[in-house]
Amino acid sequence: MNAKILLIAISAAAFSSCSTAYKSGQTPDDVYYSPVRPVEERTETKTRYREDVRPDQASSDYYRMRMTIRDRRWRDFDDYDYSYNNSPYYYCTSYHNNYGYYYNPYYYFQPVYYPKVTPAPINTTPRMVNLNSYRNYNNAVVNNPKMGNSSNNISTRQYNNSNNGNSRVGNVLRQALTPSNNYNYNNNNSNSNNNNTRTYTPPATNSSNSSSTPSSSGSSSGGTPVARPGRG
Amino acid sequence: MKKYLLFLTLFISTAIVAQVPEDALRYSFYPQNGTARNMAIGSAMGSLGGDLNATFVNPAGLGFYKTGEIVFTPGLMMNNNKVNFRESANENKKNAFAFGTSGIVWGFGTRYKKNVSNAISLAVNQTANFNNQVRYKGLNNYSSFSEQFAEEFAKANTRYGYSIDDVLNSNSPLPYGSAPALYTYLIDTISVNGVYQVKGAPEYILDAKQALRQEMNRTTKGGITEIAIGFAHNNDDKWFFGATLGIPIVNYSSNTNFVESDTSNNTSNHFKQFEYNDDFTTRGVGLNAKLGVIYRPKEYIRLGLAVHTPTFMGLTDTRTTSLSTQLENPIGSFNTTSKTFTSGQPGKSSYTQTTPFKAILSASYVFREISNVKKQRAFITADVEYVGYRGSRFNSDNEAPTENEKAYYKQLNEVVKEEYKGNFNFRVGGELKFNIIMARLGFAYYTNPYKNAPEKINKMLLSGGLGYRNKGIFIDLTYVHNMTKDIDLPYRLEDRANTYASVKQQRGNVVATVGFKF
Repeated sequence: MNAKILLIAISAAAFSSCSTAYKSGQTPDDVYYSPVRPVEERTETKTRYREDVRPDQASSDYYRMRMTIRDRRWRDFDDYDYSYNNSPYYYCTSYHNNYGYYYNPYYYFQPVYYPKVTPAPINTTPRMVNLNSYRNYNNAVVNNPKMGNSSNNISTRQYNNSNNGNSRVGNVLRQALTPSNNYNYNNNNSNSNNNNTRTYTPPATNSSNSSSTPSSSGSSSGGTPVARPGRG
Repeated sequence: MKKYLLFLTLFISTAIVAQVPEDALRYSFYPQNGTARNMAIGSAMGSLGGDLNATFVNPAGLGFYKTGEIVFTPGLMMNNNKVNFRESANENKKNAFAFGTSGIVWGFGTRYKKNVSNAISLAVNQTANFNNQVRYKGLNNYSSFSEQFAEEFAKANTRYGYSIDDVLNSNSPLPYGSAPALYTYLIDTISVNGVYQVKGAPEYILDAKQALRQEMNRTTKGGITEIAIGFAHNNDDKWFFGATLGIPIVNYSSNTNFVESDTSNNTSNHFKQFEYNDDFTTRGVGLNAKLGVIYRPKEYIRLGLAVHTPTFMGLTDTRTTSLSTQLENPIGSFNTTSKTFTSGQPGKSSYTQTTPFKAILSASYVFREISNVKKQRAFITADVEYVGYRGSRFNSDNEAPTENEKAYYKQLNEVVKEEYKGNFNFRVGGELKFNIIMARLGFAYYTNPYKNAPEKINKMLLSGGLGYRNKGIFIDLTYVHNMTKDIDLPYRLEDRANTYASVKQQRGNVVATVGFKF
C-alpha cells in the first residue's frame, strides 16, 4: 500500500511540475506520427564567471579560501582545528575521535563482554508436495485404428469429481480397500483389515509405537521433542 | 553413529529448497497488462509502438517516439468466481485496486540525420495481479484432505525412516502438514494384522460409505511489479531496435482455510471436524531482458518481433500453518500451529525460479501516418505470442547442492515438463480516431497451458475503451472483461484419483490512463 501511495505522490508531483509545449496547437499522437520535438529558445547565461563581479569584490569566504591555500596559518580560521594534528606534542582528546586513548600508556583497556545469544534455528523446510501425486496415471487400453485389432496402452490422469461415480477406478479401489466396520482409532487397533498402502515402520528401539508417549529416539535435527497431548 | 546418520538425513532433507509445480504457472500464465489504450486493443503491442507499454512488450516500439510523455495508469479490478466442486455450485467476489503501466518516455532526434532518433523510457507496471478469492464447498464421499498428510508421513517414513518422534520435534522436517496432523491426532498409526498403517480420522467416515463436507477458502493478494528501463533506436523510420532491462518484484501472499466435517449424526465414528489454515508469503526480486525489432517496409505497415528472456528470480517463502481437530470416540479437541515445529517462528525457505521465455510475432496497419492529427484515422494490430510454460525451472540457491537436492529438483522440473506445455496466445485490437476522440476494441485469447487437464482451460479477454487527446494531455478509459476457465485442486494424492473444482472466473478491470506530453 505504501508503494502505491508513493507512486501516486510521485506521479502527482511530476504532473504538477510539468509544463507542456502542446497547450496550443495539435497534440501529437506517437502511434500514428511523432513530430520532432519543438525546440524552446534558450536564454544564454554565463554561470561560471560573472563579469560584473570582480573576485576581489567577492565575499570574505573567497579570500579565506585563497589564503588558506597559500598560507596554512589561515587555516586556523576554520572550524576544525586540524592544524594541531600536525603537532608532535598533540594529545588527542578532541571529541572528533578517540584514537588518542589507545596511545596513553596509563590507559587500561577493559573489554566489554556481551553474553552470546544463540538464535533459534530457522526451519527451512520448503512448501513441498508429493510429486508422485502429479503422476497418478491410469493405464487405459484403447483400440489403435492404424493397427487393426491390436491395442495400445495409454496413460490418462486419474480424476474423481463426482460423488456418484462408483464405477470409476478410484472408487473401485477404495471399495476394495474398505475395511470392516469394526474401527478403533488408536495404535493398538488390530481389528481393522484395511489394506491401506500407507504403511508405517516404527523405529527399532520403539516397537510399541505409542503415539501418546513419545519415545526417546527423537530427532537430532537440533530441536527438542514435542510431546503430543494425551488422548482420552 | 545412528544419531549422526539421522542428523545427516534430517539436515539433507531440511536443506532442500523446492516448491510446487503450480508456482511455475503463477508467475507466467497471466494476461498482458499495460496502459488503458493498450489494454483496450487487447494489449497487442508487438509491432504498433508509440505507447509506453512497448517497454514491456516490444521495446522497439519506443523508437516511434520523438516527443516525450509522462503516463499514470490506476485501475480497479472486480473478481466474480463461479466454482463447481463435486456438483455443488459456489460463487464469490473480490475487488482490488490495481495499476497498469506508468512512467516516462523521452524521444529525441539526432543532430545529423533527420529520420534517426532514439528514445528512452523508465516505467513501472503491475504485470500480474494475484488479488483473488476462490471459495467453494461440497460433499465428498471419495477422499479426505487429511489423506495428503497421511501420505506425506508414510512416504517420509518409508524413504527417510522418520518416526512419529522425529516429526514431532521443535525443528521438524515435516512441520506444516504431518506434524500438526500427528499432534492433533488428525492422522495416526493403526495396526492391521500386525502391520502399522497411517490413517486419517476422516477416512473412517469414507470407509463407512458416508460423505465429508469440505469447505475451501483461498484468498490471495499481491502481484508482480516490474520496474523497467527501455531504450530504442529508430533508423530512418524503417528499422526500429529496442531493448528493455526489467526488474520484477514479487510480493505474493496466500491464505488457505480448509474445513472438513462429518455429515452424519453418528457421534461414535471417531471424527467430527478439523480446520486447517495455511498462510504463506513469497517475496523476491528477479531480472529479465526484452529484445525487439520492428520493420516498417512501407508506409502504414509495421512488422514486429520480440523475445522475452526467462526471468531469473530469487524468492523466499515464509509460512505458518495451524490445525484444529475435533475427534469422537473418544471425544477430544486438539489444536496447534506449525510454529511449534519450526522453533517458535515462521518457517523460511529460499530458492530460485526461472520463468519461461516468450516470443511475439506481430503486424500492424496504421491508416494515415501523417503529422496532421485531424487526418489520422485508425489502426489495427495483432500479436501471436508463444510461451514455453514447460520451461519453468526451480533450483536451489545453495552453493553446493547435495545429491538429494539435485534429485528432488530434477524430479520437480520433470513434473513441470510433464504437467505443462508451450502454447500460443493471440491478441488483436484496433482504434478509430475522430480528431481528438478515439474509440477502441480488443480481443485476447490465452490457450491451455496444461498438458493433461480434465477440462478445457483458457483465458479470453474482451476489451473496449475511449480516449481523449488534446492540449498536451491525454486521457484513456478502458474496460476489460476477462473470462478464465481453470481448475483448482484442494489437495493431491498419489494413490487416489485427484478431486478438483472447476473455476469460471469473470474479472472486470476498469483502467484509466492520464498522460502528459512534453
